[in-house]
Amino acid sequence: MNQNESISDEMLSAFLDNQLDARERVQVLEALQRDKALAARVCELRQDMELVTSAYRNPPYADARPTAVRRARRGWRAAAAAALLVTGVATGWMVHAWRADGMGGAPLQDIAQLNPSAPGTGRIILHISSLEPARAQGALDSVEQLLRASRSRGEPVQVEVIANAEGLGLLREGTPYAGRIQSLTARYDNVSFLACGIAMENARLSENAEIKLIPQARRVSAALEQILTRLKDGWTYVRG
Amino acid sequence: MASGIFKRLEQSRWFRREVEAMWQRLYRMAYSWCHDPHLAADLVQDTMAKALKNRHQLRDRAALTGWLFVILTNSWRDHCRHVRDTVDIDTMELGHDSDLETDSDRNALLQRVRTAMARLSPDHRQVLTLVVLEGMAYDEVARVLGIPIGTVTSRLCRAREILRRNLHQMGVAGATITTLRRVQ
Repeated sequence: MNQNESISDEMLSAFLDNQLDARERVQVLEALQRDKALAARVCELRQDMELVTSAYRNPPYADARPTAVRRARRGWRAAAAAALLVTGVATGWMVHAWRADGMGGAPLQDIAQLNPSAPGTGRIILHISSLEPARAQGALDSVEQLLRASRSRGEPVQVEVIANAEGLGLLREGTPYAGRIQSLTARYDNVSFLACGIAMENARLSENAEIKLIPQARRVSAALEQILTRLKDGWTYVRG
Repeated sequence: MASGIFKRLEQSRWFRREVEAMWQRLYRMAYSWCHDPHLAADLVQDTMAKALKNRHQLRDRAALTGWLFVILTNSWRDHCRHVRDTVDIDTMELGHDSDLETDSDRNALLQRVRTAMARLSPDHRQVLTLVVLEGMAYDEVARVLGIPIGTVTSRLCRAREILRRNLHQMGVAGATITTLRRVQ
């Protein structure tokens, strides 16, 4: 029961940054389930990170400069963009390479690592904390694949998508994924989309306006709490 | 043959957005390091110029983003070397938001967060912003900063602790109490 002692501050920090392997992640999640103080600390640290993200979301630009200088700058910038484009083509880069910045593995790969023999893999909670288009898109693709496969095989599955931090944008009014989510929920009644209340509160504070969700999304008090509850009930946790 | 591809790429609005996004990502990072819009713009311009000049050095197509951040890091390092001991963090002007309602809750809060960040050491601030704002993996941060991955891990952990303390000192801790209750 003293397992919590094996969760060092550095491990906790790496957990927040999704830098642990599947086994370590489960270890931390289990410790969080047992240790309320540890869970509170994680919430606090995660909230700090959300604040930092908000603090630099719209950095001020140096608009005080003379217009001519700014115009010249903009012109230079367009030239730089074009030149980079030429360079890219000349050296044979693919445009997607711009996205390949060392993000974690694909979602759902984790299922096998996490729970290879568990019979309960039919209940999955997918956690999205980034709005990086490749990841958000990938997560929705995975959800759809999973739902389609389970329907065609006749194996029941239950999927919850929980969004927090930056990922909250996925479920906010005006999200580019609104149509996709609507069509998913229209076709499948075994998928639901949940928004973290803490992330919503942080967004409300930083934007000074009420946060509206798309009609398919439901607010829950906290992402971490939801994940812990589901884990306790034997669900499989997957990071999107 | 390449010109056909070039045209198609050029026409792609998505690609143009990507280029624009790259500029903004570098700018945001530079601003989070120096908290000065003029300097941040100069650093990014410097970075783009160096990138263009040395583009033949980039061999791995997937490494573009990291490579640009390496150049940005070097530009920032050069700048710091020149102005060492002349910047006093406590007098550093933060925000530059004279045209905003500075008294609103939102701005006051974010201002305090930026100040808390500015009080971190540059080393701590850099690892934290690369991971939090840019979502970089630890090994990539290690490559960008040219330090061992173990140092990234320990610096981050320490940076988080100090930031938490700074925020606490500045009164940014209220919501955590409700969080605590909710979890229990």
